[in-house]
Amino acid sequence: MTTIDTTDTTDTIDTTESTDATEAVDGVAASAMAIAHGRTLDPVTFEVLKNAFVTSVDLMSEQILRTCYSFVIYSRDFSSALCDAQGNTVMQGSQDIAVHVGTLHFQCKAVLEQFGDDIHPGDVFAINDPYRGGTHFNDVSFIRPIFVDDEIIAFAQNKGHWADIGGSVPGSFDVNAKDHFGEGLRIPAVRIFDKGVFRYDVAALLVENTRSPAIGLGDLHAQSEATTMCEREILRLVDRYGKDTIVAAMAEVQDYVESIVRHRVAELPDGTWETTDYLDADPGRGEGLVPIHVKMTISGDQVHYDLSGSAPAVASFLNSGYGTTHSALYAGTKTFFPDVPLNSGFYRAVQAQLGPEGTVVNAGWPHAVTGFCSGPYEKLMNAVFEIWSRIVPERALACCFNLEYLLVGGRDARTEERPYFMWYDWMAGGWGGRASKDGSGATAPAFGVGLAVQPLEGQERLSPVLTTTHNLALDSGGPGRFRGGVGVEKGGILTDGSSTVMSYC
Amino acid sequence: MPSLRVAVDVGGTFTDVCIVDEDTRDVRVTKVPSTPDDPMRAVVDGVKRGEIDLSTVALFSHGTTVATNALITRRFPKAAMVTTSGFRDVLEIRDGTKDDLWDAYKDVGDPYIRRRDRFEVTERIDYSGQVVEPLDEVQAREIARLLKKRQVETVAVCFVNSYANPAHETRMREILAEELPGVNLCTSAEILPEIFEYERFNTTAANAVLAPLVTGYVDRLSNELATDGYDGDLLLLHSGGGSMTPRMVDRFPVRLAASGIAAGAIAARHLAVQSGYPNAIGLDMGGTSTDICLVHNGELRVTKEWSVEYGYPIIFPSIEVLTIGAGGGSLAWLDEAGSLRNGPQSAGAAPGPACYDTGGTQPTNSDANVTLGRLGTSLAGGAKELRPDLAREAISGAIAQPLGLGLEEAAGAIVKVANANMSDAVRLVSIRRGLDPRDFALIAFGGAGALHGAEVARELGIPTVLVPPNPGVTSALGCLLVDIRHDLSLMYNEAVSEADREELEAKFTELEDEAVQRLRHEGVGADETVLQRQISMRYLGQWRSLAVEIGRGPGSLDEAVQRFHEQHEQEFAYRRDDAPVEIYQIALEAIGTTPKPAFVAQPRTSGVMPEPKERRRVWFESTGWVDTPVYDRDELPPGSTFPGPAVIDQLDSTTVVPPGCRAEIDEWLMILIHLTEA
Repeated sequence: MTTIDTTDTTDTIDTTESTDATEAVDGVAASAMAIAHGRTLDPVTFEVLKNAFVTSVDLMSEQILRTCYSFVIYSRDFSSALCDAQGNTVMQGSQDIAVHVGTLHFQCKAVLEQFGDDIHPGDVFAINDPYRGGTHFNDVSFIRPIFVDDEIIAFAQNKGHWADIGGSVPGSFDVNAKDHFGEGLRIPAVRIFDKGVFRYDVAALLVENTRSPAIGLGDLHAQSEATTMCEREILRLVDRYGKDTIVAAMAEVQDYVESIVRHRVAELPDGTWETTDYLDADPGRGEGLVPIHVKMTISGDQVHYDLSGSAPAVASFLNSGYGTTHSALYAGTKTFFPDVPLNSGFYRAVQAQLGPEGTVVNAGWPHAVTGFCSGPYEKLMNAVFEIWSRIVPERALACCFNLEYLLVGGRDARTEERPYFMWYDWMAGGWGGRASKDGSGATAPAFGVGLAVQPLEGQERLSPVLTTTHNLALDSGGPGRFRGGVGVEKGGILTDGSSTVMSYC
Repeated sequence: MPSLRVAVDVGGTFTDVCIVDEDTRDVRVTKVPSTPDDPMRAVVDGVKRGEIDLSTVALFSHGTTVATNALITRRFPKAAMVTTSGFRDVLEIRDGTKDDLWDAYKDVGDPYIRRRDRFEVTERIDYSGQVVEPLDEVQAREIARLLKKRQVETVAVCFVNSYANPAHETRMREILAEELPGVNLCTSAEILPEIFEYERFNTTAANAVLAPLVTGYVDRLSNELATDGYDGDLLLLHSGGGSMTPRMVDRFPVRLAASGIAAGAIAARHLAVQSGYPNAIGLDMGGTSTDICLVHNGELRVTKEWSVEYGYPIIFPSIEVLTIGAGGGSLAWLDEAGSLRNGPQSAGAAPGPACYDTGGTQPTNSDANVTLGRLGTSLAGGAKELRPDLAREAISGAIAQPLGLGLEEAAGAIVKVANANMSDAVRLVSIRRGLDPRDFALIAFGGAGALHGAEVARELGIPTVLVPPNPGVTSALGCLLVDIRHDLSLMYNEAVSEADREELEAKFTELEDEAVQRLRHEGVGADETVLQRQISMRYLGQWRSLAVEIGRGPGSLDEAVQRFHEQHEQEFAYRRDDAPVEIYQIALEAIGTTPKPAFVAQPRTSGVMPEPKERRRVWFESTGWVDTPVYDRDELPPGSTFPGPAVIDQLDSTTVVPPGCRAEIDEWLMILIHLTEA
């Protein structure tokens, strides 16, 4: 049986610090009145549309899962969102992974900035640019404008991790990349459908620059067609409720999230908290910790992060662009507001000052960034966990395991055609201990809890590899009253590969 | 001559017994409280209450939640798993994901077989079926002896890549059988010969832990019924919408995992088609949840990917039923930003809705319906009296005052949000498939479905609502309406251009031989056997596949490929005629037809309306309070039509016909509510 919860929450956490319960309850009611009166939509229409927006995004994700070609996307390394006419995120889907979601509005705004008035019904844009707020080059976004009466009212977007995007190593994860030219194809933003007409020339330019053009082309189709599911659903809503109501609802869903976050933050004490986390080393320079400094201030109902004092960009691919750094701060914070949807309203209540460009957390062009996910991204999340655990001790969360990302690529010598293979492997691991119980064991990484561990029987068909073990690493959670979750141990042997390159981070 | 057909549906609160007399066409219903500690007591009790002589029963069918409940509560017999060395924890690592991505305090449940009961044996087969390392028989026998010492009652054998070559699993099973006589044994290649170890292992583990329990229950019930004079087969409804006999339950108990949930969907399909609606969406709204199913072109949607609980998939065809937390007892509440919410928390049976006067103080959907006059103050023919004053008090304090709404507006808003949640779920099961809900009828049943059906339909643009004759016991009826059915499958991974048609035919024949053997074992004759071939395909490089029907003879594969392109376009709005197509799997639906009760159409009368049994004020958003006739359902003759607003009362449910609608009683005694005709 499938159980869904269309109200998108089951429990609300109570972050109220007040000892006077009556006062707190009155506070909630008073604020609820004020917010309800600030809306133009009645509470019922609002709730209906809020849920309908989630549905519109989930429909898109469901289709991608069912039509994708890349094993990486199949394992749920993709996300979707509905953005408004200005590119702000209105709603994410219910199973979308943290790392992508906080960057989708940047990508949408980049398309708007680049194409301005030159956006038409039937267009679809592709973009993967980390220097325009994207994640890394493998993550390719497809963005479709949704028009009503010759006017853009929204954008449907999904971002999926392609198995290869060119660059110096199969799979495009080159630990030693000195800059982005070793990491693969940079797509600033291109038009892949022009007023409904598929542009083979542009598609070919993209996929012929990867090691698996057929899979790239399949995913390109799957992703760009999936945006029509979201479009269809939004147009249905416009038909039913009218354009003005839908446009208003898209704004009010953001206001709603902003107000609920602000309301909860206002209940917390003002103050400033600081911590430093570290990358263990810069593979491009050798030993030596690389500090990432996080300062967080609560002032009234506003959360503000300041990352000044973090290390300069490293000489390898463990840097983070501004998009993913923002995303890490949002995702880390949202862990303490699990029931609140993530959209641009959240981003208004939680703001960040990243410090000057050229640091490990604000790497501009042309720094290599592909390893951000197991680098600064999770370090930032863990730093945020540490800070918020002090403020909301009943939701405390110790440091989580660091994503292990192993990529072996080369030629598959099992068949005469010797195609390229990209044996991607990421693992589940142990999450940090909690205030009232052990950490959860063998769980997907913090940067994307929706990211599924790949079945080894699938990997063995795709790549010349024989897996020797996939078991829990007993007692790896550390001692203590509430222990960390246990990690996972995996081993394998390469069988009939040639020209293989291994990247690991 | 035995002429009775008996169906028993065991639910969480009630066990419903539905008795159909083939001679008189009489349908009788008894309802007894369920007995969760031993569900059989309620079954036997319900049958006794029905005052029937079991020797006059031709067919006894049963939908049971025994398997579902065991999986939820993890109350299993002593079970063990034997797996490839290095892979003891595949069952526990799963795919690492969680149901709630963001709540770091919410965890996925425990695996069905504990770590200490999982054993590793040296053996390995590769992706192509080649032996990399032979099965270590000495080790295998040591494990078998250890399991014997531990008095294990059931064992799952799950080896890596066994879908490509089951030899090692089969040999392991033989060794276990020698050392552990009488213990239930199953192998993953036998239960689910498909790629992806975690799904296959978990399905097999679920089968193993259910085996002694479900088999034991079924055997006891069979014996009990036999003692009381029943000499036919006990038919058990399985998740796929067919039934199986105790002899097949022995081998595939996991197929009963959603037995109870499937029944309502089957009944919905049958009744909608009978009334001339081959496209219908079932809305089965009970006390705590609503089950939604979809009938398209007369068929229920069947899915292969589902689970009783997140993280533990059971990969067997199962009727697609979406369950959401919206029922009569669902709570209405305000979140911190003043948004009105409804469910998924429920007042349940205790403390219950405020109007039940059993301790509940929070407003529920039932309270809103009582406040609006839609639900009467006397339920189940006077067995239960409701307190509208308590309902009003709850709504006023929790919703109306904080939102600055009037009492009726607040109650109306509660119902509207509940309806919106159900509508969203309906959209998920319809629009996701590229199907427009406006092309469907809504069949509303369960205790509360008919109260909400018309407004849910209006929200979705659905033109017609159907309310079956006994909405509250419709599920039991479903058990009587199915055939014996088995679903078999085989991996067959080959590009269409490379596929050897003769080999493909041989594989299908292999499946058919196995299917026929199973059906004969269950006493199904050749003239009652129907076999339908299916083939799953995908564009070369895709991961998911689509199953389409395939015929026999030359050209059938090419036809199936055309069907695949068409279905891909229907489901996903695009097709790639230039892209190579790959076969993923072949499957077989094997059906042993069983006689089903024939319902008889009632002649339509001139439609003279009876006098309403009472009139009361009912509140609707469009009209405010309006004087509304309340009819007794039993008195409404087939052929009668009447305008809304109207309320129709019967023992197990209440139907609301809002203003602006027209209701009609058809020849099957179904209430049809037409929303478009004023």
